[in-house]
Amino acid sequence: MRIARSVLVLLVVALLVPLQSGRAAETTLVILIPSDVANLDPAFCMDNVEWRQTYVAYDRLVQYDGKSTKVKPMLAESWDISPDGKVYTFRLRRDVKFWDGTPLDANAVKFSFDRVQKMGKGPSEAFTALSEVKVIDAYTVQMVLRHPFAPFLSCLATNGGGIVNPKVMRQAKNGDLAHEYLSTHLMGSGPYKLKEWVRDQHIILEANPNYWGGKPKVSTVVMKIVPEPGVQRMMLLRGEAHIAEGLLIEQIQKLRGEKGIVVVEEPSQYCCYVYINTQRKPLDNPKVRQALAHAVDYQGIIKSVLQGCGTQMRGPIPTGMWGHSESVFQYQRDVAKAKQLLAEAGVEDLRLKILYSDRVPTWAQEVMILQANFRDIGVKLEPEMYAYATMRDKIDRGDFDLCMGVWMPDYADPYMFMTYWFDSTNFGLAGNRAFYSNPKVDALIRKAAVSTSQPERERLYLDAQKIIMQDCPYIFLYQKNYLLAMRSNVKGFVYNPMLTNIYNLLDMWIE
Amino acid sequence: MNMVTFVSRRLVAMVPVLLGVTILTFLLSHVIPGDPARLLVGQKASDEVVKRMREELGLNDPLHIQYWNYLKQLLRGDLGTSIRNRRPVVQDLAERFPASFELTFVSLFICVIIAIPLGILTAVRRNHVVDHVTRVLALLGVSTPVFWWGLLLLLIFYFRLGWLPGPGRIDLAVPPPAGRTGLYILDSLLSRDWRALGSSLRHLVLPAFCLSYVYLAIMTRMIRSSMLDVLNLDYIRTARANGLPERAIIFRHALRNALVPTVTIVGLSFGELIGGAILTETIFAWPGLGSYMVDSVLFLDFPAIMGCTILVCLIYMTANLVVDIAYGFLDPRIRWG
Repeated sequence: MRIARSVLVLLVVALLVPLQSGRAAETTLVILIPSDVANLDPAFCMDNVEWRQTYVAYDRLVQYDGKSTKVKPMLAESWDISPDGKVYTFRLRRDVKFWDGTPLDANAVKFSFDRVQKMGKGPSEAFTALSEVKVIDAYTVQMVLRHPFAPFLSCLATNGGGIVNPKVMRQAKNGDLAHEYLSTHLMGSGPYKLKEWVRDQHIILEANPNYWGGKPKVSTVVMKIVPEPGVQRMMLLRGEAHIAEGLLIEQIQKLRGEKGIVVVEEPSQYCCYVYINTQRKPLDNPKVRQALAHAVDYQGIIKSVLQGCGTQMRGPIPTGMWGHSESVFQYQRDVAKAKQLLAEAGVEDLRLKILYSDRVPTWAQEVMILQANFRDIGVKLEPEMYAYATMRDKIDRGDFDLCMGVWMPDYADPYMFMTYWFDSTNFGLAGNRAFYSNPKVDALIRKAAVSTSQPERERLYLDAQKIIMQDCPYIFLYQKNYLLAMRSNVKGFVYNPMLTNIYNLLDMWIE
Repeated sequence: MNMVTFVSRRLVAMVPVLLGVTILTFLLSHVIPGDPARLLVGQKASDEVVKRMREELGLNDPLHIQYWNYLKQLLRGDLGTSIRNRRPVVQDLAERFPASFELTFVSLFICVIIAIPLGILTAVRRNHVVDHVTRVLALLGVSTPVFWWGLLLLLIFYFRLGWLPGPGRIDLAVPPPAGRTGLYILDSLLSRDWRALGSSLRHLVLPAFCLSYVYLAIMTRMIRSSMLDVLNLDYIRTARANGLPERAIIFRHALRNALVPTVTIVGLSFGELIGGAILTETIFAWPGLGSYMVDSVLFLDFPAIMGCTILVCLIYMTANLVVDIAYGFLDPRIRWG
């Protein structure tokens, strides 16, 4: 009894003892993230939330220039491209070392790209055109392509292009190319290293003081996992966190004007669209698809669901990406025209199902609006909500009439939209989720994919977009703005539309 | 039958139950349409990449072969590797289980130490003010969603008053206590790390109270009604007629019998809370089993789903066994066997 009483007293005292403030020093940046990440291997992970950690740990041959989608030198000081567009020769910086002091040279570059290709996981998709990496000398590396591939430089700036320390092979087990080790460790040359990863609690990165690009100003970055948006908001307002990643649009709108908080709003490449299964009757008739596209209240969706933080898409290539053209046709809500198109198609009492999941929180609202919009033209829309994994399975098998979708490009090239969405060899989850096939479009986009002349590619993509908008395999809803709430003392953050959820930590500081 | 035989028999009987659970879970999780290989390699991956991934994960084998392979692995104590994060499921569970256990244990402890006196009081002072107030509070507890309580508690005690810390198990500036159990309170007591003890206790207050409130309401009402039943029985009347003090009648004679249904509830609640406190875990960023289970299901991470189910099943069975043993102690008429 006496022991029990002593323990109780001890517990109460411990509870009452005022702690030192939980707030860390001002050189620590605290970012609230909604969920933990699964994997850190750059040859494996495909999600921007994982790239948030890996992108600052590994250097790449080239990097995006500030807000621009154009690339500039990073590890490669300069490069040449052969006239046939198939051979890229890179000259590397000589002052770069991995964290353990190993020099980063041409062999490390070859090792990293060979590893990505041998593993053959998601990131290798960006390098399918790459045939071989040759070491010319210690600091010169040559990449030989199977065919000219204009987006190649941009592909090198993706997370999969990160250069890994070849010494990681000492950790390889059963021929896994050190995948198991790199899933939970970082082994690069970038400005930040992994200090601690406590599952479902936090990830801590610490600065690499010897970074060749200069010593980072923020010494420690804490990614704290807080799933509930309301709690994230409280922590941000109390100043216990600098950046909150998981806030809802309504919450962010309310934070505008709040003392000590700034809201970053930038156009992003996050596109929301509806796949129309073009293989199903009567959706195989372009007039029916056009009628549906004319029924949608685009501005209503942007105003209510996004609270105005977005713009209606004009064609498949979003604004901010080269190849986007204001001359491309844009569908507007026109109920009379939609009804007329349905009548011309000879379709009456149309009933359609729309597939979605709770993966994207705004889908449920958007489906409700679409339901009301389609009712105006006499089309009955039945929502079908499935778990995300099941939804994806149904998409892959083409088992749907209509389906909600979102897309973000991995690299800055219209190829990410045009080839993925419309090439008839990409049916299903691979990208062409409307199961759309038009030989003319195929020819145009395939020619554009291998052309090395940007003006020619722009022309080809414009021609393709004109046909596509008439065929209407998708309903292009909107391009969402990137919204991020942060404390006003966080400085230097630059949003690049290719790097959503990724921070330019090297240039950031806390005032 | 003595207790050892009883417990041994029950332990043997657990085996077929566990086997049945593994078969059912395996079948159910595999018949859901969906392909974890697809989820793993990213939405833009080609069919070839997906095929290779399926091969690596062993998803191309017929279902009965996959199950047989899993069972062989399970007998070696290996729960497999998570498809989602490529770590051993045992390791994932070992990291999350202590967090869930600590929260559940403290919540139920709070529940029991408040519910028993309150239940007795409301039974003895039936239809008095205290009974009415408790009824209203119990009604509130049962009918208000736990996420609402959680947010409200945080809003008041963390955001407005600043008395208690925000989400998480421990302050960021405080290193977790050294120790093997992963139970922060126990580990910090054992290692005499008072800073960690204070921080983890303070972090535990709100989620534990939030979680316990619903069960507190149920338990109080349950103890009240069983106490009322017992207090009307002949043997209590006899005890009173014999002039036994009221305190002895209530605590020594009535309460023990009234506790039998409560013990059942506590046992079942333990199993339920260990894996089912998902809302509380989400609001308080508590790294427990509930959120891990939900994520595993959403990702169709078969080994993780299986691992969680087996663990929760084991906890339920153990809790039931403990409850059955406790019956024997509470009510001498109940015999083990």
